Amino acid sequence: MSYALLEKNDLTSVSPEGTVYLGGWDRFRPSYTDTIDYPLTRIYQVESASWQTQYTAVDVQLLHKFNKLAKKWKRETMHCSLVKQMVLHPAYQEMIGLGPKVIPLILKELKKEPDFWFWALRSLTGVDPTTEDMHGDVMGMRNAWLNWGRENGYF
Amino acid sequence: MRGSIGEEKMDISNPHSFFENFPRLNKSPYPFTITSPSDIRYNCIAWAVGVSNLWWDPYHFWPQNCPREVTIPAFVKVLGTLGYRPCEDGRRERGYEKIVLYALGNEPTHAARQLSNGRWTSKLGKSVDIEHRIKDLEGPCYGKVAMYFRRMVENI
Repeated sequence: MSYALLEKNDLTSVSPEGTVYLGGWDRFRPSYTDTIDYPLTRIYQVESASWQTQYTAVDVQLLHKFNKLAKKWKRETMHCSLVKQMVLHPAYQEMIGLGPKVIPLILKELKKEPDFWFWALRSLTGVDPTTEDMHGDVMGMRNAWLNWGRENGYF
Repeated sequence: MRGSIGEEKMDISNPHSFFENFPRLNKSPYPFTITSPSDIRYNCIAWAVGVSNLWWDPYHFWPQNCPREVTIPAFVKVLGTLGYRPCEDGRRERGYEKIVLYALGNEPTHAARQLSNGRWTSKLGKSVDIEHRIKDLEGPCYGKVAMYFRRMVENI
């Protein structure tokens, strides 16, 4: 009988040798060690888990960094009327600099609340699912990107 | 906090940041009024020309044949497509509707439209609309008043 070894919000990490360390303290883990011998290089938080032991996880350090930058960007561009000011903001540029790993995080932000993530998504994905007739239609552009996210397995 | 809230939920979510960006609003002897809630569907340029469902921007919706750049000449051309011509000041003139353009240095940042009572209405980026005095939005966020425009209209 198969069962999920990890659950949502468990913290886990992977050693350089590939051994998975688990942060859950109260579940039976027959196949994996639950001791930590040396410093963890990355800590992940499980986002979803299935009975086939497949799970998706997000790097917690990346998540925290992204969230901090996103919050700063939103706060400091709240009164900007022009996209140029928003996308040239240092926090926005830094988020793009984190690389394609942040695409799912940006799509989640966009799903939560519409905002001018379009430039970042174009830069990171290399595609643009919006059409010319959507330009200026913020909700239309948002829906185009959310549909793209769904079609490409991000949701 | 100076200013008034016209309806429930039309609030400034971060007053500290709001008055950092617009210090004159807090010190003005003429309180500003919040006239609609935060709405990301339109920006100041759109609102200044009477639109509330599109984001007017050189990189988004922009009138045809206008330079897609954030410069004063580009904005002069955009407003020109709607009949606005540069004028001398923001004084209320019967028969005319006026728009004011703010800029930081030579780069446009904001536009506001004059109301029939002589005050001005502005959409503050992704945030709320307010009614205010023209100079009260000068500051670190929008810079200074750069140009005035007017066009003839009926019933004003």
